[in-house]
Amino acid sequence: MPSLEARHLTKRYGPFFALNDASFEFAGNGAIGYLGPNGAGKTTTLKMMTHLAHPTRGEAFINGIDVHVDPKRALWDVGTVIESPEPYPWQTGTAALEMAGDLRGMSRADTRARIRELTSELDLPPMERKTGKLSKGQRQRVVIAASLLSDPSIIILDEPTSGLDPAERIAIRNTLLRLKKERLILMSSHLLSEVTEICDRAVFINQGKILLNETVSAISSMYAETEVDVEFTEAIPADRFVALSGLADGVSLVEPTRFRITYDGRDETRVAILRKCVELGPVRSFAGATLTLEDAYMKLIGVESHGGTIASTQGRT
Amino acid sequence: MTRSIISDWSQFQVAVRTQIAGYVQTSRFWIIFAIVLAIGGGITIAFVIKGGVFVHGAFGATAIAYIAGLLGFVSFLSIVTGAFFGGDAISTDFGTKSGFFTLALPVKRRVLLGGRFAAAFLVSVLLLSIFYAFAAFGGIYFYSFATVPWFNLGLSYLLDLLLLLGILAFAFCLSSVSKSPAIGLVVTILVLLVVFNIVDAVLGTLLGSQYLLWSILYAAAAIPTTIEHGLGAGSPAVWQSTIIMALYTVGFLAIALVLYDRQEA
Repeated sequence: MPSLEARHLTKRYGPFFALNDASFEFAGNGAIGYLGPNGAGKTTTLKMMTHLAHPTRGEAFINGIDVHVDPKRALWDVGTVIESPEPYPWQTGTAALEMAGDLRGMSRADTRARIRELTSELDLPPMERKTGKLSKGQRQRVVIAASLLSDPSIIILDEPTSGLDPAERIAIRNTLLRLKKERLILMSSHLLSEVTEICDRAVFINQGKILLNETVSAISSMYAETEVDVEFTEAIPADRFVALSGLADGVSLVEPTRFRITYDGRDETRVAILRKCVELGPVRSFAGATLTLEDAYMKLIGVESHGGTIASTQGRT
Repeated sequence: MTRSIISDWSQFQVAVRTQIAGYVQTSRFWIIFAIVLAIGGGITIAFVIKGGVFVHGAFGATAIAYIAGLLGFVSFLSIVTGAFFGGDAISTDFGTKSGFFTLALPVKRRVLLGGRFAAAFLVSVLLLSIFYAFAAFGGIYFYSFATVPWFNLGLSYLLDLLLLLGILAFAFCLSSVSKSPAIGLVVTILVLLVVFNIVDAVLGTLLGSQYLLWSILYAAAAIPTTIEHGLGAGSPAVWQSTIIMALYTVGFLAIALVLYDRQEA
């Protein structure tokens, strides 16, 4: 069973903590999104998980092997894309993948067969062209192909769709959705919609500290308890929502016929709000607002930046 | 796809092949090749034109003088070759995003460095061998087979191999502290061609040649003089030159290994 573990990973540059005592453990198949603003410590974590940077303190394990004690064995079954890597510009796409395959102990026949598979799956650019002559997006697809070449059980990706156009993103997303059924994927991304679509679990990090580590559905429900979306069959004038005073903490217009109502989270309040809404007009639907990961992200980062604390949790996929 | 972990030796060979392909597919190999042809071929052609007698001084008076004169360029060629092939060998990983591609692969950094060093050495040896071939050919063509000091020429060639190892180790070491491939290359050339020459000249003049035993350029002076003196007395002596070059190789390669292992992408 593939596994990734960070134990108190810390990276310090003088007084500045790029990563501060980060711990997590993931085992089994699935996709984990690693989220945070620029400079939060995402790439630092991934670099230390892949031996590209060394921790000031703490340990990183892949499949139970300490990455910084035996990197070759630890990374043997891992595909990585960290910081938009670039093959040597004088290498053709094929030569770059063949080098990666050779270093991973693949036979040339296996490598070429995989290149053919990946060419159709990822819509790879002309592979006889030198990588230095490819566009950023084309190069990115080549390095993603390199990370998948040996069919590793663990895939670590740092902003994998950075620089890709929408069609390319969809191709990568579909590949990751397929792979996560039998692989363990850890990916950082700025695109929260991408994480929502692909990932089963999300880890929020800011200022070098892990703020939250939960399943995506748990995070959504965690942050959706105090909001309901109500949709009417016709437009309702906003001033009529005065009737909800005393029940609702706030009402916001989502669409002309749809409103998001914030309340205290108690069931009786929710029932009372539903009764009042029925009086206001014909209700088409009334449901707990499914907050996006983006909402949760903004709330978490906001809480943290105002000095609030949210306990770091550990979990398994 | 289950794959067993392959040996460091197999990965070393991949690193050698990749690095040689890089040298040949980029202009640097052909630039050094052109320089070797220009110097070695140029002097040979000049001798052919002048009917085997060079117009300047005693350069072509005997086969020994001719070969020693030609090999006077070996230090320069070795420095340029070493700098071109070693000056960016490591900084490429950290000065560009290539390191994120290569260093995250399951291969020990010392294996990569060893492979690159071996590749740089092999390609340098090939080019310098062409230069030695010019020297040997000229000796036979303009003088006679019997007048060529074959033993001393072989000794000089071996010393040049050691010089290449020392210069490459020095270049790899500078490359491991440089964040830019171009800077690593330029600094290596500047330090070896300019700084070492100036310091050698000042120390040699003021204090005497015994104070130059730290300098690989001083050690390299044995390469042409060996043609005349062989294993006999020279300044520096062959044994001194050998020790200096070996120390450069071992010392700077060890430093480069440690620095490369600790560098962060």
